[in-house]
Amino acid sequence: MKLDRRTAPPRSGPLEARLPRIVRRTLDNGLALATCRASATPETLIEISVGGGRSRERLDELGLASLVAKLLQEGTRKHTTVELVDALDYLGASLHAAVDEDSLTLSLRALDRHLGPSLELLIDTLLEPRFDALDFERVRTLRLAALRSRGEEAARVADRAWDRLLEGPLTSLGHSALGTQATIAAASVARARAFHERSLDPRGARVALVGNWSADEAAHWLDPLVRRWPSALAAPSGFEALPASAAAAGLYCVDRPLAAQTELRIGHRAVAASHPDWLLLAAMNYPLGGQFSSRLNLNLREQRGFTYGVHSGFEARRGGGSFTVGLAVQSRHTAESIREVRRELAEYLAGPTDAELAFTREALEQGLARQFETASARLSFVHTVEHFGWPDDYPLERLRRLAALAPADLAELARAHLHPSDLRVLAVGPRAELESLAQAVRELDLDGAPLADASACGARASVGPPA
Amino acid sequence: MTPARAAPLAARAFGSELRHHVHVLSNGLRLVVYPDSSAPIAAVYVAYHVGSAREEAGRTGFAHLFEHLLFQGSGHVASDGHFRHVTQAGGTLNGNTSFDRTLYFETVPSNQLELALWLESDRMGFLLDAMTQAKLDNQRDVVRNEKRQNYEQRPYAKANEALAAALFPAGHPYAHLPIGSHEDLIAATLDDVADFFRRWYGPNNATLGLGGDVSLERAIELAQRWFGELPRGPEPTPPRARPVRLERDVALTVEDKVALPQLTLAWPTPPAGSADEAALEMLAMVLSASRASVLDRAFMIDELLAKGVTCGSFCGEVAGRFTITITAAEGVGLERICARTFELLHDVRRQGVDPALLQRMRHRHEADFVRALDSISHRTQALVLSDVLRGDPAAFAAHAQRVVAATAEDVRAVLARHLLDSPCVLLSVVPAGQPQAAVRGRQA
Repeated sequence: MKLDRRTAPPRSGPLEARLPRIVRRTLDNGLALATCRASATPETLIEISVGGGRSRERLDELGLASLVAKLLQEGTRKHTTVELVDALDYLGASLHAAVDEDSLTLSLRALDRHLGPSLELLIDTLLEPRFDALDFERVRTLRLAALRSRGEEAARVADRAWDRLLEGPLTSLGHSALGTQATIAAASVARARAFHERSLDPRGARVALVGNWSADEAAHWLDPLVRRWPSALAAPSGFEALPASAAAAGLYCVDRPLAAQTELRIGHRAVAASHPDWLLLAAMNYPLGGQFSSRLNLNLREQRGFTYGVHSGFEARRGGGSFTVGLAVQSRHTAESIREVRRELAEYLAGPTDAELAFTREALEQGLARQFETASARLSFVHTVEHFGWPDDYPLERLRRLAALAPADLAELARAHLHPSDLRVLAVGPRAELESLAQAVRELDLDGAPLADASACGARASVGPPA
Repeated sequence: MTPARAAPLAARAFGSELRHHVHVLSNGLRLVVYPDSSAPIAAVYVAYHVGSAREEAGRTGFAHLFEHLLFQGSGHVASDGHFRHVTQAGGTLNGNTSFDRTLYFETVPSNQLELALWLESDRMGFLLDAMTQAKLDNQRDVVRNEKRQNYEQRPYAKANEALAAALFPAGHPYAHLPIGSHEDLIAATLDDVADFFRRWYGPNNATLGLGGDVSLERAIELAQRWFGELPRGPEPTPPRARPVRLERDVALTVEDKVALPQLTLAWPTPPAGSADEAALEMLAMVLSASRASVLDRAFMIDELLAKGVTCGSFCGEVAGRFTITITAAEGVGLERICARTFELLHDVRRQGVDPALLQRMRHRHEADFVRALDSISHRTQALVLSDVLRGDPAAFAAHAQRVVAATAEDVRAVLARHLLDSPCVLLSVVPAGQPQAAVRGRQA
């Protein structure tokens, strides 16, 4: 039979995608365990989250949460820094601590045959960190160096200033996770220890375990954690981040006069992950900027060649999310790129075409086949479900709801959640390139604070027009 | 705890489980099949045995620019077809270019395997039918923005080009990076595209990898159906090893928009397949794979002289390079960093490699090996790259075992031979306007 290359070959059969099954247990100390099987590699992944996130930082202790996360990796009551690292290397295990908005998470990746001793190190790190004064000084010094280098990379400058524009200066989430020179200089071992202690309570903590184990076996592995972590070691503080106070719509710039490219962030605040529309927002955004063949990328990369790539998306947060278009463009195309993004957003209020909606449905449905393959993908699935409290079958729920929608319904969603007439536009690049937009430009310092503001950390004098 | 006594290496156990088959089509296309039904997906990899090392003079960056053009449609596929079809099928796709090879890949639900084969075979057979000046111009702009984004806007990154040019003589295949120069990218023409395609993109210069939920029989049948009729290209010349040795130390300085100076020490080393390759890789681990490795520990724990330390050994088909990169901590000069680095290297030479550290790095390597093979696509990729670069899909696992088997004496010997007794490049990246912060030589 002569091969016909003119059309794409059809599927060879129906898709056999299944969601991983999450099984839960409440352990004897009140700790919530969620597990999911993964058997492709001889490894087990464990993640413990406690309530020590950035939203617990007061404004005079910015950066403390991530400093504590660093310090947890600097040794335990039994191990110096080097001894801890040596022990992990010996076992071939990796152990990391990180903070996000509302939790402090310790992650362990261990070979199955060394799981017991690897898990002991995770527990030591969580419950009995060393908090040694010399280690603290080393971590602090490195953090201060990182702060001094914070202006080097335009993309990172843009990310920080963007948080500041959307969250405002009154909440820790509007500031760099690194903190400031002042707050890091003021940090101390005592403050770090106190922050750690007020985060520790198994009743508010979650543990996820993914590996080739049943739920009962998983719970059994965690026996030492239960034994060593009786509930209510400390009462969690009731402190939560102050509400956001987003900057007004308009054009903002961190001036880098000679930069070859301008980093752009364009968007606004959006609903929290608990909003009933949330599951549909990624689908709504998909044709606009959610993948390579989106309107934004085909226009700005594949047609105009202004950028290496552009993406738009909604970021899920429990306390209120954001919608952001992000890209780096050749500097001389800055103004035109901003105009094009604005135009695409405004046009998209009419919703996707029939073909775009069909494309989105099929892509999301077929994509289930590869979404949960690896242990780390399964862990991230468990994390998402637990973190946001979404249903265990949320990917299927999304498809069911999407199947019932017509393009007009997505247009309605777009109008409810995209606001092209209320955009914050941030440009990190040559300010002169913004002139042709004929719009007031508010200049920001490296941390996203208005340059005219006396409290700004930036060293440069204000040269911008009045805000 | 006694895990060290345990243990056939996981690397050995796991690597040997990657059961695969090699089949060569009559047009010379090598097919590597890796059946694995652990997920309902299929991974398709096509590796062409050409990278930036085979670029003509005045055309640096061309192999990578050409890679971009392979996503712009072909005889029977629309210009936006690759991304559109694969994304709509629920798959992912991409490509990348290095010194020695260019790789294209997609992972799709296994019921869409033929879609990926249709797309890959069409661009292998019919690329030029759909090539236009507009596509070339557009992707040239995209690639130049990629260069701006990843090299010019990123702190310390632009020095990489100067380093390549200092390590290898002018005209050496590794003397420039795959991203190329703006000037050469601008100079590329449609004739270059056609010549490059005819010269290097025949089936007899490629390996096709099919991994995942597919049987050997079906994989061979499908590969034959989609690729079997494509004509053989000219016989590819095998790449020639051209190891180099510097005549003397070379100090060079690059000014960048950075707050802290950074020193890179770099040595040319032998190409892949040399007897020293595995020991050089273990040396890099002993020096810097862990926070408790020799350099990291000395510079960032025992004393705080550096903000960051990295170390790497690369052995390509043509030559190799070994690099140590140290970013100074606040208030620490590069001369001091340089002197201390050589002191530490001489200590290792004199005292030998700490056997306990070596053992830990073997375990680390073994765990990293397992992690790097965590998905069907990564496993298929490892087999395909090994086939194209080492002539055998299984060779990468054997290589991993040689790294783990390197002895303390092997590691000490390559340290002496290739680093301490050989001239190096001393590259200082300094804050703009501070050329005096640079290192002038290894004896301060």
